[in-house]
This record gives sequence, C-alpha cells and structure tokens, in this order.
Amino acid sequence: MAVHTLNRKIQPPQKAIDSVEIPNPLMENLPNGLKIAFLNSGDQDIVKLELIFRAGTRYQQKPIVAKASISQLIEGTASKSSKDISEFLDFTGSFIEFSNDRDFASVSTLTTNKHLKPILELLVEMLEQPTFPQSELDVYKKRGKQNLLVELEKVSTVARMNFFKKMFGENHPYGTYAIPSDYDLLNRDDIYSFHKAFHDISNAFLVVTGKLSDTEIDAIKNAFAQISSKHKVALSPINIANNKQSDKRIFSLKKDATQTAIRMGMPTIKRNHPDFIGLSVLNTILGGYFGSRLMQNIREEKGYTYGIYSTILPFEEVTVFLIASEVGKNFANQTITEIYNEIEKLKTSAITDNELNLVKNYLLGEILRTFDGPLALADSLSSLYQYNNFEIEFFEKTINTVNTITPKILQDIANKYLNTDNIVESIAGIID
Amino acid sequence: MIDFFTKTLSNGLKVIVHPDNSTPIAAVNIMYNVGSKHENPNKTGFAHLFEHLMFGGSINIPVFDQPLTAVGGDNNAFTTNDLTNYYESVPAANIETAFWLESDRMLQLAFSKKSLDVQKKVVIEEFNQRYLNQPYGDVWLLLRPLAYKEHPYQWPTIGKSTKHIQDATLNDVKNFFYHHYAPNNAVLCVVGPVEPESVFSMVEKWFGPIEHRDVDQKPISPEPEQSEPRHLEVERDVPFNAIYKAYHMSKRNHPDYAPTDLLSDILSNGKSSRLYQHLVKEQQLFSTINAYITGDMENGLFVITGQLFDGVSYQAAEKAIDNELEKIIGGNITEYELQKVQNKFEANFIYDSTNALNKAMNLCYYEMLGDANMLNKEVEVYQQVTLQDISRVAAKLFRKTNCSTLYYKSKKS
Repeated sequence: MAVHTLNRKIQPPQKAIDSVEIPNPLMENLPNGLKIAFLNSGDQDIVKLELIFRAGTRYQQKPIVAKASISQLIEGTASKSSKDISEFLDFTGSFIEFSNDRDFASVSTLTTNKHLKPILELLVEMLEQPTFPQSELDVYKKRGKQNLLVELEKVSTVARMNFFKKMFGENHPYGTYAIPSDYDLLNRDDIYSFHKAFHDISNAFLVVTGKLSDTEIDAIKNAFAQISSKHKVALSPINIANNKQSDKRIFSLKKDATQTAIRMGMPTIKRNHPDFIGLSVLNTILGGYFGSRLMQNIREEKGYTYGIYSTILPFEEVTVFLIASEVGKNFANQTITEIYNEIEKLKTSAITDNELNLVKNYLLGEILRTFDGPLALADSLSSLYQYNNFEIEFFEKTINTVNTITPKILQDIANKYLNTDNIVESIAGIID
Repeated sequence: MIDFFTKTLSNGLKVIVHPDNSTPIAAVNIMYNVGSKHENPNKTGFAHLFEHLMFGGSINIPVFDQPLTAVGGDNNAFTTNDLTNYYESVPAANIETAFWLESDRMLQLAFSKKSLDVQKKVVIEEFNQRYLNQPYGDVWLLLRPLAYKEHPYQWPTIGKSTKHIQDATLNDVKNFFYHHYAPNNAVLCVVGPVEPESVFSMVEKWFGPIEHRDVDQKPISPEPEQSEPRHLEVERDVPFNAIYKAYHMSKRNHPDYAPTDLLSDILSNGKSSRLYQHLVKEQQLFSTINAYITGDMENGLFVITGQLFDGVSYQAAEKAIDNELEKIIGGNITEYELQKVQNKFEANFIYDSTNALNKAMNLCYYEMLGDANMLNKEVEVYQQVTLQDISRVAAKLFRKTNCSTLYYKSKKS
C-alpha cells in the first residue's frame, strides 16, 4: 500500500461558496387584500403557513389584550369547542401556534399534505367565527398570571424588561410591560374588539412553504379567499422619542443571585437603511458568532460567562442593537468595562483582512442556512415581510454587501453608529 | 425512508452516509459512546467539561472554530448521561475541513492547561446559569439521587457540584481522553448533497490512520429494583409549589420502550392530552403539567412534573395525578386515543426529517443502539403498540414502590 504522510497542520483547500440560490416565491394577491408568498421547498410532505397580522402589543389599549386575542382564537369557533380543536390537531399531528411581539401577531401552522384541506377549513373558521369562551379565558388568565410571576424571578427577564423600559420609557409602546395583576383586568369584550379591529384579512400577509403543487396552492388560495375583509384597519404610527436621560444605568438587586444579567445597547438604523448590512457584519464581528470578539474575550479568555452575544433586534419603527450575557456575580463590572473596550476597538482600529474574510465566509454560510429547508425559509420570508416590505432584492443586496465590504467601511460604520453615549445599561442581580 | 450507505474502517470507526440533495448544506455528526454515566462518582461532570475542552485546540490545529468558520461552517456539541455528540453544519463543498478538524481532535487533544483553567470557569458559570440561578433549576440535582441509589444516572451531566469541576486536573483529562475517545468508540454520519464514495475516501484519508484504542468498557450494573416509595421535600425561594414524580422504566432497546413513550404522550403530549384537559382545564389544580420519559439508553425514568395553582394542596394535586394513572392501568383508554398519539409520532418523524442535522444525529444514535436502520422501522414499531401494551406497562410503572416523589415547596406558602 502506498503510504504518503498526511500533513495535518494544513487545512484542506477551501472552496468558495459559488452560488447561493435566492428564494423566488410565487406571489398572489387575493381580492380581499391578503397577499400570499408561496415557496415550494424541501422533499418532505409538509406544509408550513405563517399568517402575519399587524396586530402587536403597540396597538392595544390595555396590557395583554393583543396576545390574548391572537392566542384565544384556538379556544373555540362557531362549530367547534376548544377540546374539539385540540383533538383534531393532535389526531392529525398538526400544530397551530401563536406568537406576538410589539408590532406583529402570527398564526403559525405546520401540517402534512394529507391533512391540509381540513386544517385550512379550521383556520378559516377560527379567523371568521371565533367565540372566545369565558371559561377558557378564565383558565388563560389564571395560568398567565402564575407563569409571569415565575418568569419575573429570573434575572434575565428582569434585566431585559428594564432595558426596554429605560430605553423607550415605561409608557412607550416599545417599553411597556404587563404586570401580573393586569391578568385580572383582562376581559372578553376587549379581546373580541381587538380581534375585530386588527385581525382583518386585509391586514395580513401569508407565507407558505413546503411541498407545494398546484393542488396545495389552489386549496390555500380558495380557503383564504372565503374570508371577507370587513373594514380597512387603521394603524396608528408611533414616535420613537428621544428618551435620553442623565443616568444611563438601571439596576435591579436580587440578593441571592449567583449570576448577574446584563443587557446593554441602543436604538439604531432600520433594516432598510443602506448601512444596515454593514452594521450587521460589524455586529457579527463583535458578538454574533462563537468566535466573536466578545465571546473570545469574556468567555474563552476570562471565563466570566457561559455565553455572551450581541444582536440587532428589529422592530418596525426602529432596531435595537443589544448585548446580552449572564455573568458570575463578581464579574459584572469587569464585563461591562470589557464590552466598552471591544466597542472602542472597532472604532479605533481597522479589522484585519483575515478576520474579515472569516466573518464574510461565516455569514455566507449563515445565509445558506437561513434558506435551508421549508422551516428556515418560512422564517426568512416572514422577516422579509415584517422589516423589508418583502423586497426580495434584500437577500441579493445582503450577499453583495457582505462580499464587497472593506475594513475601512466597517470602521466608518462603527464610528457613525456605535456611539457609546447612547448606550443604556440594565443590570439585574448583584454588582460589586 | 432514509437511504444510507455504511462502512467500517479497519480501526473500528463506523461511517454512515445519507445523500440528501434537498439542501446545499452538509451535516457532519460524530457521536462518541461516552457520557456522564462513565464518570468516577467522585469526579462527576467530567464528560461534559471534556466536551468543552474538545474546542480548545488539538495536536496539530491550535484553534478549532476558526478554520471551520472560515469555510462558512458552524458547529456545536452536547453531552448526555449516555453519549457525547459533536456536529458541524458546513456548505457541502467544504466538508473536508470538518473531517480534518474532527480527525485531529480524535487523534489527540492539545491538553492545554490554560484551556482547562478557563473552561472550568465557563462550566461553573453554565452550572450557575442553568441549575442554580433559575427558579426550580436544581430539581434534577435533587431528583436523580432520590431515584438512583447506585447507578451513575444519579448525577446530571453538569455534575454533582461545582467542586467536582473545580478539582479536575490535566491528568484526569488525559486519562479520560485515552479511555473513551477512539475511532472504535464512535459513529460518524454525513447527511447532505454528497457522493457516498467520495465521503468514504475522505474519511479514510483523515480518520483511517488513527489507531484503534483499548476503550474502558466496564459494564455498569443496573439500578437495583426500588422496594419502597421515596419522598423528599425541599423549600426554595420560588413563587409556587411544584411536584415531581419519577418512576423507573425500561431501557431504550427494550420492547416496553415504545409503549411507555406513547403512554407519556397519551398523558401529556398536546393540548388534547389527559393531564392538560383534566388537571389544568377542568379541575384547575395545576398551571402546567407534563409527563415525559428521559429516553436513556439504560433503564430510565418516566417523569410527571406539575406546578400547582396557588392555593391547591399537595394532597389534592397528588390524588388527582394518581387518579389519572389508575384510569390508565384499569384499561380506560380508547383505540382513538392510541391512534392519535401514533399519528402524532409519525407526523413528528416527518417534520424531523426536513433537517439534515436531525437525520445525521438520529442515524448515529440508532447505530450506537445497535443498528442505524432501526430509524427506518421506528414508525412501524410505534404503530404496532396495542392498548394491552399500554395498560401492561402502566401497571408495571405506576406502582407506589417504583416512585420517587419530590415536593418542591415555595417558602411563601
């Protein structure tokens, strides 16, 4: 046998990620105002439907109403009880889940092709004729209150809530939080009115992925076309006021904590801003992947934490640049100092070509992963609707910008947008 | 049907390839037959700490992550009581970089003192974050030693205490590596748009030269049968009382495993399940309730956990659970109910198959259990479970003398 020595010190030749297949969904506009994006994807017999309404908490008059209104759709319809619905979903191995944030509320459905027809009938009935039974609401309130009380015991929850309160103001639609007693005030009329006002089909966008032939596409179009738009939804804008205060820190003491939660960050440019993609690359370098500077410094060098990351959280009217970690209770101050040091470094010295190449390739791999399979694609297309007006060119623009960005541009972006004077610090736990 | 190709190298490494052209990404998964059950009872948490050290550089490659990131890859790992699993997700054209990295750390770690010192701190913070600084976070630190008196499942993968992690030495690291990390103690699986022959030849190139090693395969004796009910009460600074009941159940390869799994689904998988409908919605005794199995390779646990609604007594809560279990033992289950959880199992199997990495992990896991092809028979195995099977395993499981009960009490009540 021919034996040649293997040089294990040298990495196998790297092959460029030549082509990224950009999703190309089929768009349909129904007469009732619903827009649908269909994307045939994957080789398993599954269908995923994401129905998104502009019906987030920013539109509610009372706490919890937006969330209760979307999630109680499943608790009863004109012809089906809550029990009937859950039996049917479980028997067909299907899932209907609800989520909401500040701006949006979503109904997310996962089923297999053979059960698509009856699932569509159920969805239509839920949206057209929900009954919001009082008995179901009573259980929801009781459970919701108890779960929130448990949630508030976590330093990570407290730090996150305080962060947004401090940044936007605690009465601002992006900074307000429900307290446990708000569950007591929740009533059926509020939920029903909110549903009527905001879950109108003309106020929705539908993303469909999975194995889609004409049969599935027609069935989905026909089902949703049965829903009539009752009115045009009035969506009031909100102001992102400058909530700048003299003290930038909010601290919440938890005496017996073994770790302290840190949330730091500031409002920044939106996803449709020309510099946004550059800022995302910068965010990746700082805290967006395992090899990031924050992770290397705070975890891999110093061992202060199990994990630290930075992210750019999109809202419809603003985005928030956020750094988050739970650190050993004796390390909070050192960690905060190091976070500022790392931000400063991005502004004062240009990143090396080596590091930039690494991050570029990582991001191209990430883009491939966001297009990998019907479930990932549903998420990508939903975000594209929520924050980029469904401009499909955003994907190509992202790839081009990532490919062509330079250390100089990144340093300029750091100096332009990472103004540490604007950073709000929220700390929960213990600080020495 | 998941079609796959297999090969065993002369050093004992088992290799599985499942070509999947629906994705541009390849998943590379390597599973080692070592978990926290293989640890010395006085040095617990070591398998997991070791997993962290596997990212601290190997004999020829100073940093693990960087070269993989540079070809667009991502990676992670996890440790359970039974096994340690490492995986990469990488654009298919660059799959060889994953083999280069994984084979070098299988060949020999760098055994760096600095890496050990830092990762000890990191793991202690992980211990804090997951087990100590969360409401109800230390439950498994209490429940495991209550249910297991001899078997090493009595400690969680994170370890019994932070002290054990603090005390780990570089010598322990070396011993552990040479006793457990070996080609003949691992299964490698690749799923993605790849040619099996090309994968086999790359794997041969990078893993073939690694020597077969003597692996520590001391048999672990099973937990002796429990002979009386066990009970523990603790008080913690949490807002509500909670209850945990753990029953000893069969191992993964036992014919009772599938019926036991379906039994847990009948009790609590989905909103139509019995415990949710009866105890949360109708009787309003619990704010959350769950029944699940730990799914271990050796005799595991069937666990029922619930958080009591404010003002509900433990007596009322526990009686209601027992009542639900009695009904099952008495055969009060319908064909419809069984069909429902079987359907759900099948649907979840299809959803899971949309993801290359899931498939790669499952193929490795079933191979470790004895045969990767069991994955393809799993839906059928679950379809064949009968109502009699469910009642039979229920009667065997839900005996008072087979149960460890933990009252996790709120200081406030």
